[in-house]
Amino acid sequence: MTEAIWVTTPGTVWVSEDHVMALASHLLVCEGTFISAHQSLSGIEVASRDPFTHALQHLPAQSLGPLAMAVATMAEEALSLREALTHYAHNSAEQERVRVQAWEVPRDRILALIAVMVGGRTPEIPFERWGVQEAAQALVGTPGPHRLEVTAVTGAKVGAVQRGTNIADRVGRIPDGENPIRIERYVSASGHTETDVYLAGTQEWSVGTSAEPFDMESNLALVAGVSAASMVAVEAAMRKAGVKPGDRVSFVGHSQGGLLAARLAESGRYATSSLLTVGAPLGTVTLNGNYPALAISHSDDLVPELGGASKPTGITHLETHSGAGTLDVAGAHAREQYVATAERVEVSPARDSLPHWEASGEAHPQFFQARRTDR
Amino acid sequence: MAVFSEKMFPSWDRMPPERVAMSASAAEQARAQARVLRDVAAGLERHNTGSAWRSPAKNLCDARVEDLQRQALVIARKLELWAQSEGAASLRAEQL
Repeated sequence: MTEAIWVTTPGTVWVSEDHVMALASHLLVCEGTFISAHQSLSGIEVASRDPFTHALQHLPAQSLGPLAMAVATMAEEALSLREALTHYAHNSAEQERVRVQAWEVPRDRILALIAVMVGGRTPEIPFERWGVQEAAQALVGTPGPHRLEVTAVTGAKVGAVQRGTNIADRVGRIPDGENPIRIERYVSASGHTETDVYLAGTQEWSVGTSAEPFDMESNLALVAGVSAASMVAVEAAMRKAGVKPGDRVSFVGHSQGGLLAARLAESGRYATSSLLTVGAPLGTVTLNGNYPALAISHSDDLVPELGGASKPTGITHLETHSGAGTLDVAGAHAREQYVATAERVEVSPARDSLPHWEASGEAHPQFFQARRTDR
Repeated sequence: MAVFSEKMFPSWDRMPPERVAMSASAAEQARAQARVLRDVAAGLERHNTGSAWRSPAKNLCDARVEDLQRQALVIARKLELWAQSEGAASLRAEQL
């Protein structure tokens, strides 16, 4: 059986399965169609019957009034039905807010307490306001300047590609492995340049010992909202690719890459044209989402939970089970599993309500590596 | 003896051309709206309330969606029948 896909709209106003959202959208269309049909039927002029036609009992209605009225009633029913679905989705949203307050916020406070005990740094704010962000700050402290070497990978054998225009294609382009940054630059028909930045997840799970900037230390720094080596690396790669502040950029990322993508999208340094994240711990990021944005997570993936209590954001969230086996923590977080989920999302009945990307010309993907040079 | 006479049905062979055209146009408009309603019904057929929502309210919504779809088809059929009769009437009047 296919697992349900839950949709949370910006501001946590609506929480429902994708089917319910699609039905509600369709009922809105139905209502408009019925109103239009009612008006059309009411406007049809019927010629009066000649006696001969009456005599043959072919009984064309003298008026379409009753049918037009029936269509008007159907418009009212479509509206009423949509309101019932909306009521359900708003209730679900309220339940979600209660769940977050009752479970996720206290959980984060306990995590923060443990982190403070381990890290030995006590946040300056009162305990009642401790959360994952404070925990991360306690652990990571204030990172110093990052010394990094960012290099373009010249041997990557990827030919010219068309722009990824669907969710599954874009998630599939997120790099995995040694070259965690992929940048594609397209010139649209109207002549402006659009840049797609794809970012991989954590490559190294140690803290403070590895030369890899996509490490756990960067994870903590990103959650804490302080300077992260991986962020510095990505922006250096973007500069090398020719991206300038104020350029139109679409960000896509998995796990830490998703968190990076979200922070860059909200940095104000670029004209963000879209954001797509999978399996990213976004809880501490303030996402205004003044652009098409979508975050996908698996309900059995622990990593998104590490970002802290979910709070209302300006972006759309989708959540579904990964399909991985019970206790298969790595499987539930794997990029490949998210590609499969993205393929399901692509055929979801709610797909029309999710971001779309315009096709563009061809681009040669550029890959980048980054190393810390101070370790 | 004539079965039908102009005296009995004074207008049967004198249906003005504008009335004939009006009937044909009305029939076409009704058919167009019937197609619209059939499309709406087909759209509703493709949607449902999913599998995660479990409550009597969901069952009620399902039933209402089904009913709306059925109503759309019923009215579409009535419009088609009406258009058929209207079209036949105008055609007959033309022939006469």
